[in-house]
Amino acid sequence: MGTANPLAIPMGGVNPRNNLFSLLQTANRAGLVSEAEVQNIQVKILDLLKDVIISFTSNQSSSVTEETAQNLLRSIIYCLDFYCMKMDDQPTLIQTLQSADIKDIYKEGLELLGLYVEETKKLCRRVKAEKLATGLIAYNTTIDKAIPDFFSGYDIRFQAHDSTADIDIDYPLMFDDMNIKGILYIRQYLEKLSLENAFCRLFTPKDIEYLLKSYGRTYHIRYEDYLLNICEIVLTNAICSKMLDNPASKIIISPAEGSMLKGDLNRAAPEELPSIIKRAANKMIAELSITEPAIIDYVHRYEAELLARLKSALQHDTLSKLVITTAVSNTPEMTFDPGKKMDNHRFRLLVQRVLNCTEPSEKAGIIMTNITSVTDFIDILKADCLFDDEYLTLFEQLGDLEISVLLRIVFCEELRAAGSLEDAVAGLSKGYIDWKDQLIMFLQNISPYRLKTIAALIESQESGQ
Amino acid sequence: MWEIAAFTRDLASIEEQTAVSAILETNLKAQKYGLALSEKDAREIMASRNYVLKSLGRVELGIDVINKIISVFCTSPYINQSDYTVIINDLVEGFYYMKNETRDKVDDDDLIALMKKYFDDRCHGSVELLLNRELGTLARYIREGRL
Repeated sequence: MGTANPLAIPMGGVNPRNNLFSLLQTANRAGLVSEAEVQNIQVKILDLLKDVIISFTSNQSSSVTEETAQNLLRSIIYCLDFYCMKMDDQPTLIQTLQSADIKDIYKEGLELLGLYVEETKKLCRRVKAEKLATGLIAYNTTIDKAIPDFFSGYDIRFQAHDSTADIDIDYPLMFDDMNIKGILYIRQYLEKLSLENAFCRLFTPKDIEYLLKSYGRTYHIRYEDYLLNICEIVLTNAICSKMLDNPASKIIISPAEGSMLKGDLNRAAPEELPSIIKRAANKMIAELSITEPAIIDYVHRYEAELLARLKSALQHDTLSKLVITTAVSNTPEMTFDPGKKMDNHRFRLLVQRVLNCTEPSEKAGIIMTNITSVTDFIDILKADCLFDDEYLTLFEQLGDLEISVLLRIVFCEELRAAGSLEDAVAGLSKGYIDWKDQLIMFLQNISPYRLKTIAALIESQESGQ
Repeated sequence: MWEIAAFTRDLASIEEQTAVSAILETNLKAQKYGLALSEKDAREIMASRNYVLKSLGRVELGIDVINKIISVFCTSPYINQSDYTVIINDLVEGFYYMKNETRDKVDDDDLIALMKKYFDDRCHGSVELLLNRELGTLARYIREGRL
């Protein structure tokens, strides 16, 4: 009989072409196996089913319902298929099927399956130990409960083909193969989940959680309750962030950057999109030093899907639903670097670039990603490259800390004269130059709570002097 | 290729002769009670059994149930040669009906023993009474765990 040494065969290595039915069919067509021999194999399998029925009913019944018999037969075939799939040499396999006792092949298939189950359990434990820290319920319950429960209920003698075994594997993978069954399905699920987790571990847990929260805000959902794939969200943002020439590890994209990306992609010809995506993906892979071929393949496999989704998003102006940008955060994040001022030449180029744009959000994006000092920021406001609502769009990109720094400079006298920022803002009247009027309008429309936060920041800066 | 109904049907003819021979072997015991089945009777019992299995959505490989029923009931004082085949067919049908009604909660030997007991003691050889009165109640008791 053909040897099937499980130690010699790479774990997970199965040849899906080698299943019993296709083998017999191919061999029959090639004249290697006659119709009578095929029928003989079927008779032997029926005999095996009889034994399995007796075993299933603990020798208490020789008949079962058709549904039960069908499942038991499927389980037997799964074992026989597993044996065939583990054998790479087709001619030897066909010879074995012709000459050996099917019960012996089944027994060996059962042993191989048993070993495979044990190896898959180890993989399950590893995935559980290395899982991502996230609040996503489906992710956690699938890894902590559903898959371990699967092993508790999985009986290779009677339901080898059953992938569900009364469990719900809710967490969706990026590329799940629902055509395979039984332990092979669970194995591919865990292997892919492991790959996805490995990719996500290249980014900080804090960033991933922040990204998921932003996803929830974008779709007005509590992300924890939904069946989302973490890797897909992270990978989409990672590739798109690379399109913006950000560091590869940066998956947090600001609204301003989102606008810039939208502008860039809309200006690109549709036939350029595949190469834009590929270039960004390759840069990301190189910069993150991803060397695992399986992860690289996974990323490249996603490119086609991302292309389709990008095209649709650009067509329907829904890029913000695909590339998740962070909400304006009230936690102080300082963009202004006090020491850094732009040279005149670069400043003039920047002004020209802003003037060449028509979209307010794109203008704001260009300014926010290129300006690093408050002095340059004020100079840009004075440069007459923004008009009307464009100022408001820009001011909305600023964090509380940046606003507080700006106000201390722009409304220095007014703040000193008034008792509090709130009083100063209430007392400000228009009649200033355009950008100051716009800043007043912006301040007079923000929430009292936010104004209070900015006031506290101003106070702490004053007392720090 | 691996659908159970087609699988068992396609191979039924291969197994039929073996099954018929096995049924005829029951004559060794049954003849002591004045009962015997011909080859034609055996084929009729097989055909009837296959029809019942199909209509009740059950599968049995082999003919253990037929042989057990014959072996147990041939000792009944209420079965004559003239109605032997008909009674066996009715009992086989009743048996599989009961397996479904009790959701396979009772094993084959216990069920056959109960049927024999009711057939002889309560129904005095009436298959109609056994099938229509006794087995219905029995099924309910078994489902409710009272037996």
